[in-house]
Amino acid sequence: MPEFLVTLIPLCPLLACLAITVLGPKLLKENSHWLTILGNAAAFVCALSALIALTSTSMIPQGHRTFELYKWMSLPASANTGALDIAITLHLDSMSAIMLTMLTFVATLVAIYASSYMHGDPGYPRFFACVSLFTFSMIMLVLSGNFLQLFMFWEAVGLCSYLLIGFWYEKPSASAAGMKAFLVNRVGDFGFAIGIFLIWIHFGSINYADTIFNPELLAKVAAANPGLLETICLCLFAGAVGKSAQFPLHVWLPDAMEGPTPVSALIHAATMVTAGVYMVARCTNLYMLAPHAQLVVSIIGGLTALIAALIGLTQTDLKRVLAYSTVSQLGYMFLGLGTGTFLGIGGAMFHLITHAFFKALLFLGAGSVMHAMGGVIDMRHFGGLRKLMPKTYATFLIGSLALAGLFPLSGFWSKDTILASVRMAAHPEAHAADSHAAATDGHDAHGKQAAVGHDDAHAAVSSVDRTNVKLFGIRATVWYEILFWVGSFTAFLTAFYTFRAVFMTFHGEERIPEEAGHHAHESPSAMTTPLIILAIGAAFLGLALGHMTGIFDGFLDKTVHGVAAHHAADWFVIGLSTVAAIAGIGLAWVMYAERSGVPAAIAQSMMPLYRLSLNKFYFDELYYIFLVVPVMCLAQFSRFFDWIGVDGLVGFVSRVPGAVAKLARPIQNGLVQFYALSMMLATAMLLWALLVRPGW
Amino acid sequence: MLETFKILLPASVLIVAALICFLGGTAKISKQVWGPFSLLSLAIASVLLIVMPQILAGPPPSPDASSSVIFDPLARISEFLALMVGVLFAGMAFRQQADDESAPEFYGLLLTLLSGLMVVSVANDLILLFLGLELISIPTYILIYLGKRDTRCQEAAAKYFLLSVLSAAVLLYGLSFLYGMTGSTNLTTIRGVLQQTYGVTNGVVQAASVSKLGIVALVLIFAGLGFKLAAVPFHFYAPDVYQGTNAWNAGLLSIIPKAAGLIALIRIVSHTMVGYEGFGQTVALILALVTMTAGNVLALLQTNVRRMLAYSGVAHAGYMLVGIAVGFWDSWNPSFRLDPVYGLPVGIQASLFYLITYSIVSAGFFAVLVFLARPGKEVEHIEDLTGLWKSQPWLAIAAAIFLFSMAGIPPLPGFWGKLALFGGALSVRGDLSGAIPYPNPSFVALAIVGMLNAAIGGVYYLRIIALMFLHDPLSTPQPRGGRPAMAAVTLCAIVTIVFGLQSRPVLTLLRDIDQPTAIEVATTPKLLPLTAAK
Repeated sequence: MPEFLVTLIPLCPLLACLAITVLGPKLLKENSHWLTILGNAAAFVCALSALIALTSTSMIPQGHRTFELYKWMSLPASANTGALDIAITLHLDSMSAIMLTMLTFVATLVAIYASSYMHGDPGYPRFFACVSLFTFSMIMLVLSGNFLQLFMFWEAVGLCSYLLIGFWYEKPSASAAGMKAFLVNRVGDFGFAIGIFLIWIHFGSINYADTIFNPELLAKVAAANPGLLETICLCLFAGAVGKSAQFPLHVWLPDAMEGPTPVSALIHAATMVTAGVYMVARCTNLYMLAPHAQLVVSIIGGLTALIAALIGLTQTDLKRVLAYSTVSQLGYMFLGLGTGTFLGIGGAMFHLITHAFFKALLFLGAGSVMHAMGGVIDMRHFGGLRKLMPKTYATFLIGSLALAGLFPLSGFWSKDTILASVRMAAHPEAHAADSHAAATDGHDAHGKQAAVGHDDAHAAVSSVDRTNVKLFGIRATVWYEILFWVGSFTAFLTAFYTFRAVFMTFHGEERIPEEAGHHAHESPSAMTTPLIILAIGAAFLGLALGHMTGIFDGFLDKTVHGVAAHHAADWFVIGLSTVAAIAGIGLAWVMYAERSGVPAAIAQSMMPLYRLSLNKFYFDELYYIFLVVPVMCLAQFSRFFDWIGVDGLVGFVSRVPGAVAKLARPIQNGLVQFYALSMMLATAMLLWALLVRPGW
Repeated sequence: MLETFKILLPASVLIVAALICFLGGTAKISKQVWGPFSLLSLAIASVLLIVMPQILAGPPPSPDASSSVIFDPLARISEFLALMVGVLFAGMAFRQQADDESAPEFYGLLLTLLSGLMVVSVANDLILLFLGLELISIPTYILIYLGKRDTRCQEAAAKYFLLSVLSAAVLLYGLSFLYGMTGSTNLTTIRGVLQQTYGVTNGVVQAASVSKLGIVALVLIFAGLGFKLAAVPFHFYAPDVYQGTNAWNAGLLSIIPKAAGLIALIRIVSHTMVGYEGFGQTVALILALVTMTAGNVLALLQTNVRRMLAYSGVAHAGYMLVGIAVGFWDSWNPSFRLDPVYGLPVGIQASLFYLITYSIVSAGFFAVLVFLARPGKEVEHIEDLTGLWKSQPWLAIAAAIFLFSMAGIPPLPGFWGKLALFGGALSVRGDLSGAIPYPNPSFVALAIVGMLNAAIGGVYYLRIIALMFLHDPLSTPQPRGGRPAMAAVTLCAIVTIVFGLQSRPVLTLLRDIDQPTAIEVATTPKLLPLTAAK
């Protein structure tokens, strides 16, 4: 059963994509969305079945299943290189099943939403073909069982993202944004590719089964090559930084909002940008042996969370506020992943899922507003829409509360877990007894057969001495202490900028821009129904699956052993983050609930800081001066050199065969007697060469 | 004796069908029936071929001196190739021949030459083999003449006839030397005699025992079959004839004689002439170098599509000769058996793999030209294909697939073929004296020249693709090829892609082609070709 079922998950969207590509422009036209919705929904049903199959130990006893769909080539190992199998391998375990279910669910809702949102667009079939292609690529990325396939579909989702950001390619800003996303991602992918090469060189394989799922081998390689795993982890992380828009490569994501809003919700909030988080979580076994790399992951994550939140404070474009918020929340996930605790990994993965729900909800809500306002998305131009768009308002509010992390909405559970894990990393001694107990707990829970891998993994993990990890001469625990306070402060900022957006958009006196005309209205039900469904998820997911019930951790534990270990609730963190969230919302209420002079006055009093935030810390400008301009100069120089030097040389070389041919051409003179003569002469020459002059 | 007839059964079906065509053509029967009829006969022959192991009842009999035919994996694959190419070309001609007076003769000739290729595939006797080759040549003369019936076409037919007769004479001369040396026309017997008399004495190959007569035979056979392969400098006819005749004939000419030449070369030289591997290798090496280089370089200049494809066919023959050269080395020295490179076959098997993929791709591209042709108006200039993407998108995509495969772009089969051929050349270690552990310099040079040639080849293939996709059409083509030609194009495109993505079944088939181990010796042969004729 599972093989066929798992194969169906990517197959459905792929077939939808192909069918729309072939039939769309001429036959389907405005009905193209049906195939995408159908494909995604079918994939969701299969993914959900796979998820359920995984929970029962009788169907998939070992808790994961890998199978090869197709092998393109297979190079046997030689003296200096390992074997290279280029194959399409699907790997299903609890981590990929969770991702798949979330991905296909959100993709289905977004496709339904887009069928109404994109109505009347000339590129309607093209849009849905791209969305289906993206869903397929993302599913293959999540399901991949080797690094090459991961990389291939990593690029494929990047391509889909590029196609969809630049969907309205007539708009110069849209095509520029698409280009920017593509180029910035290249920087990260460079590191990613090097990481994969390093893995291949040192492990002799690129299959997960022979590398990251093999703790003994990992420990052996780590012992043989000190520092190697750290390097690999940092290289892989470079790819994650690009794909998941982390500092300093975060600049592409806000610009990506040029694409249609459903795309922003699906690709640039819920799924593709989380590929980096997923990849790092996938390589947990690897990162657990590289404490320095983990610290770097955490620092980059924390820094990104803070910077993006600060920029989000002053943005006036509703979608851009949400985009910076996405960057910031992704930073949280890396912050959790880098703590080196199973609590952090579980928290990051859980945050990934809850974030997908509430951020997709917020983006779709913003799209609903934009739809009603005739394409205007600048919050200064409208306000007080809560009466006009009650459903959008209610769902947007739920999403915002979840993002702010207010009890008992889903964001609260996942964000608190991450913050608690950072605090745990900052005070390892206080939690040592706790985690030891957790280890034995886990052992008992899994019974003997599952415990084999667990023990090995645990042995490998505990063999790394974390007490002496230092970066820039500062001990890791100190770093984590700083990061904890950074994270808590960011929680406050998050609540503030989210509700600034809520109040500016939905509260105060009703103002509608001219572009909306007279038909400003609530969106049709094809758009509001996905909002309501996502709002339910955003509200109750944490309560249903989080620490109260432990369902999520228990399930993820099948892949990352140790996640399900019981941890005492950290009341300090819970209290602190709740206070931060309420303070943020309150401050936003004071400043933005009614239009007042307060924000302007504050902006006036802190002009430099305000400008810094408004101009996104001048990252784009800095990159322009220090990267784009030199590269352009180099490009001009290269072009010149290419023109004079290389082209001249190549032109010369390429003319050689032609010139030779011209010389040889007269031989083909059309005279049959000459042809016969040449044949005989050639035979004679060969005979002479072999008989008379055999010496050469 | 009965076995012989059984093995020849598929070929006989085609001959009988051809005779029915010739006789039935005189009766007043609709000209439309002959196309389906020939397809039917090809289908019957295919079925017979598939069940041949059952007909033969039991394992294929080991070739003995009394048997003039042989049914080994090489024969089987070659016969399948002949039938597949036959189906493709019979299909392509459907529309063209539907209202033609000479339709029955046309199909009769096609079936005759296909049976010729099948006879070559199974022949284990010099006379039968030569008969097969002539069964291919003689119908070809008429087919070329039937093609367009203008003066250029007549000139092409006459040229092909004269040069073909000359090459047949050379080949026959070479075969007569072989017969004179061994006193037999049976290939198994010849092999046995050569092995006894000139091969091994006390477990060591005796250099002095290699006869000069054998060398003469070898060179003459190479020269005679080189014409079939269109190897330089026996290729002169190809551009003139391809250009002079129509696309269908040119396509047939680019596949059937090449296949026959390669199979005959493997049968007569590679598998039979024990003791002459060193000389064979030298000749094949020289011919391969010259052929691929001249073919590619001259193709660069062509503006006529068929002329360009003629030179491209010459270049591909050069690549196939690379495998033949490697194959000689392989059978020369049992203690230095080549390992399959990347799991791909090397040597002769690689050549056959290349031949199969080339046949499909070439048939596909000529089918595109057939589809686009109108009566009296062939696709002549390369620029006639400009902007094909706009008017015939699927046709353009298929044509691009064929051209990419010819250029050797992964993952298409042309890439695998070149990888196998050049990889095989690079895996040749040491020279014929045995002991040098590093790669053989002349084979390394061969591989390097081959790769350079692949790059040169890319230029003219990609130029057509660029014309098809990046430019606006000059005129709207009004193709008359119809559905059958389109079906042939589609079939070839699908097979090309499938071979590229999943070449394992074909490779496995090829791996069964046994290369008779030339010399069973325990120690390394001490023979040096350098000292051979001293």
